[in-house]
Amino acid sequence: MRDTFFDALRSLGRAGREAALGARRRPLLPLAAFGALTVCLTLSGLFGLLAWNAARLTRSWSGGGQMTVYLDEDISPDRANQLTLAIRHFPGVTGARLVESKEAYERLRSALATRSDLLDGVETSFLPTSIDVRLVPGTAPLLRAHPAYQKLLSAAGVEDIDLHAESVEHMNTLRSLVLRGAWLFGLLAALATIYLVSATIRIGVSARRDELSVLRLVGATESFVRAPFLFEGLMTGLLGAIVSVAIVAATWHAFAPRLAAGLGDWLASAPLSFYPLPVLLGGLLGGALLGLVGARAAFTGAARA
Amino acid sequence: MLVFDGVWKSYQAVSALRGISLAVSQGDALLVTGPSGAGKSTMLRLLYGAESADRGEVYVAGRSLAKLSDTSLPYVRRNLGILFQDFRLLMQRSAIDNVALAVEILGISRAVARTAARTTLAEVGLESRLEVPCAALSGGEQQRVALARALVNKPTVILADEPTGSLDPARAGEVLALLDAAHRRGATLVVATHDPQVIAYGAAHDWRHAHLSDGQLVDLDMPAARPAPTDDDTGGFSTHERGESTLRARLARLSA
Repeated sequence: MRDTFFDALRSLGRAGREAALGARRRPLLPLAAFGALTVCLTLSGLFGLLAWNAARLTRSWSGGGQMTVYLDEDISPDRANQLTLAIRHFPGVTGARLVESKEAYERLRSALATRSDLLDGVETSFLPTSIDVRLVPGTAPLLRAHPAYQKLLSAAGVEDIDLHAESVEHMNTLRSLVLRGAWLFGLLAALATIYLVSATIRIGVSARRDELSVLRLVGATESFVRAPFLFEGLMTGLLGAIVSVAIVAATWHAFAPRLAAGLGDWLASAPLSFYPLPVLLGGLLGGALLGLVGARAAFTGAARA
Repeated sequence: MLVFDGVWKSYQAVSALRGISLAVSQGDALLVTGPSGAGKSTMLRLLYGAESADRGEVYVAGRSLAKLSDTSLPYVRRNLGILFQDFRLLMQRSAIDNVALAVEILGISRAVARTAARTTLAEVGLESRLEVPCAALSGGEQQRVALARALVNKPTVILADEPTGSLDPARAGEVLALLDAAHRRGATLVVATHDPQVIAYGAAHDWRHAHLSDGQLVDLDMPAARPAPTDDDTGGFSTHERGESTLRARLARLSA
């Protein structure tokens, strides 16, 4: 076990040394790969960040539920709970939550954000108690035609029902489109990254063909021959990802306040935010992995000695 | 140990080897001679798997190279010390790096590899040129670096293609002595040459001698003092078959 560890460490050291030697001899190639990869990762990072914030925003706009059941002012807590439990058993309902008038007030105040002063002097109980209901997507029209819905409309303690599922579904569609766009862009950027790393490493392999042929002739295995190039790809990807993260962070912190100011109260329910740490770490790992895959692809169909 | 069994090899329309059959036992030393283009280098290239035979089989240590996978070939090559006619050195690297690399591929640490390389380079008289890039060395020095690389792992088989091609007679004698020393330690030695000095050295040291002409084995001498190899050390290729192969070669020569 210990020997295996030291063997691996030695191989890594040798691969690093050989990769550095190759980079010193032909610095333009790894620099070109690094630059191109950084541009790709930066663009996808920025686009991903915008898409991620847009998705959070649309989710917050559609928050609260797809159906709201407003209750009578004088409804007893027992009756309200009873109705909530009953609604949970309706077809297509995935959840129902009782929202007291005070909570509804706080929610409205939060949504008004900088204009929350409009509520100054208004009683906290002016909004009715309600039930937020979440539905399985696409079931709203069915529910509207269902006898249970009609029964609920005329049930004791129910003031009104607002079935705003369609607007929520539009919002969800929008969010889904934004996220799909981001994934597509990310995929294209990943493919471009792999292609760029692969192309530059292929040039390096071609330039050192004689040298690699000698290594093979004296008994080097393919993994020994390829290790420095894989290391180069890995490091190019990792360094490119680190620099990209730095650029995306700097750009975000420079422009996010202006964007927030421009969007104003639209962002009240979901303020703009930067990638969380796990996503950043995943990005770094992903960059390194893309570099590695690109380097591996450079050897596909490579001539053997 | 090394067996050619009816091997044919051609490059486009040119036949380089025509039905070569011979066996080299472990510990044998074999001189392969013949004029330029006779097929000497092709024989060596077939032995280290840089080329494959069009017909027939080449065996190294009982394993058919044609049936060897790409992943197994490096492990066969590690038992071979190859001295290439064109040296095949990494010209931008130092002499010691070139030799140490042959050790490092075995998974041995760089420090140990460099120590082994230093010792072997000293044996070939290059102790003062260790850190000089090969591109800055003379042809003779490059040839000795290549020899050191071939010997550094103490291989069981040494294949040398024109090992004295770039050397003056004195240096050539030293190189031959090193090859013979490796042979006396038990290594099988195959030397392709048309250098009269090497041929004379081989004859004086009881090396076997195979003479090629126009891709055919036209003569195969056995040293009188050396016993004929058994089936075991010819990788299952019997001495009877080998005798038959020699006979076939002679018949082929007569009928050509």
